[in-house]
Amino acid sequence: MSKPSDLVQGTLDLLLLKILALEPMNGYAVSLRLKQVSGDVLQVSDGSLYPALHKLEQEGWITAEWKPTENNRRAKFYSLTRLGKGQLERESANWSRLSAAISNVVRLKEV
Amino acid sequence: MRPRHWFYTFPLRLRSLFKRNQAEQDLSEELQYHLEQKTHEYVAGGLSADEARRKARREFGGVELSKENCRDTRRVRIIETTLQDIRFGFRMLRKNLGFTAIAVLTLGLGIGANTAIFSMVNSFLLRPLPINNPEQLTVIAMQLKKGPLQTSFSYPEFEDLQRESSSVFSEVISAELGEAGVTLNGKTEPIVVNYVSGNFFTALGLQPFLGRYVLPSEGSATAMNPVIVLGYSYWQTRFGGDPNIVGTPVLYDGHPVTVIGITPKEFHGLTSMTDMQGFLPLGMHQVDISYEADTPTNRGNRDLMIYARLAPGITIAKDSPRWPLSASASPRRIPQPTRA
Repeated sequence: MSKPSDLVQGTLDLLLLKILALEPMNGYAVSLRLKQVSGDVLQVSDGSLYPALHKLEQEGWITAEWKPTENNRRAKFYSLTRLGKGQLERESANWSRLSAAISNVVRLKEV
Repeated sequence: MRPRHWFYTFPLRLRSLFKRNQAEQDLSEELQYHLEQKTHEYVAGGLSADEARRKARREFGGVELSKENCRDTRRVRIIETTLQDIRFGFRMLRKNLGFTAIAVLTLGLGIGANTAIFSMVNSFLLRPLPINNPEQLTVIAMQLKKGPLQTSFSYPEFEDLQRESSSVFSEVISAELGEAGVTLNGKTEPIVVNYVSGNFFTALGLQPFLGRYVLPSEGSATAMNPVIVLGYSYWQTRFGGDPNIVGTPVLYDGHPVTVIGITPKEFHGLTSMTDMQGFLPLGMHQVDISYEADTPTNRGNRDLMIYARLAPGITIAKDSPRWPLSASASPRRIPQPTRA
């Protein structure tokens, strides 16, 4: 996923929302976790991670909070909002429908 | 759905509006943190600090581009949601037609009334006079010894001023109000006029819209020069804007006078808040039955307004000329110029 295409952009939102549904975390942690849980299959490019996160924030699906980290620095932690939860459910349902449909087509018997 | 949406995004949007610097700093800090974490990861993996930093940066791709995309999401969002909000507003207005109608009516009345009043005030009070160098024109007032400023003068005082003030004023003109009846084709209607000195129009530097103006030679206070200049609006309403009226005689208080010209549309005379309908030479005031025969010499008969053009280089604050009007029989009076 180095360049999000149309299909993948929508899916990226779904993935980010789901990761943040697990627990609040900062952008770096999100991309790391995504990589881990998908067995290195799903990797967000750093350049597209933050625009995506900011868009989710603008839509009101996630909210951000600055928390102090070690070295007296601070990092921006994102967490899912109630609206975001609804959006996550909607997008999950869409994805299920879509992937089921694609699977059905792919499984068709060729002559 | 919409109000809840606002609850989350409104503070965000306000923040981005007012604290753009802070937002920029936050963005930099956020991406910087990411780079540092990545760097630590690579250092832990065995790379040197420098190599790790370079690798992290390389993998990020364009940091500036990323920042720009982040800024874009905010901008696009603002435009999108503004459009959504506008559409929502229109829907709500359509749903409550009664309220909308009342609101529109009230706004319409308010705006209309204000515009009307402003246009009038603008053309009569705020816009400068449509003459040459309007800032040079002043109204002359005089201060009676124990009284307020007064702007009415007598004819002999006007002549005195013309004679004695050439160092301060390049032109001194006068006008007085009058009323009469103008008869055309048997129909008589009232008219409000200015009787003006011969140099009135030349001093103002006005170009006539049609025809010509009163000449200095016609400005005598004693001779009757039967000519009249019409104001533009009066010409439109009374004479239908007929250009052939120039050169035609009409009856002025029963006396035949010739229409010699029309003033430009923007000129309403020098009296504020009044649209002067006609201009005649001073001498024509004699047709008025209330006219006193000794007016040209009587110092006590004060009906003239005097205006003067400041000579080049003269300003009011610096040179506040006061001089007594030469007069033997009358007490000393000191005219003070005031701005027109």
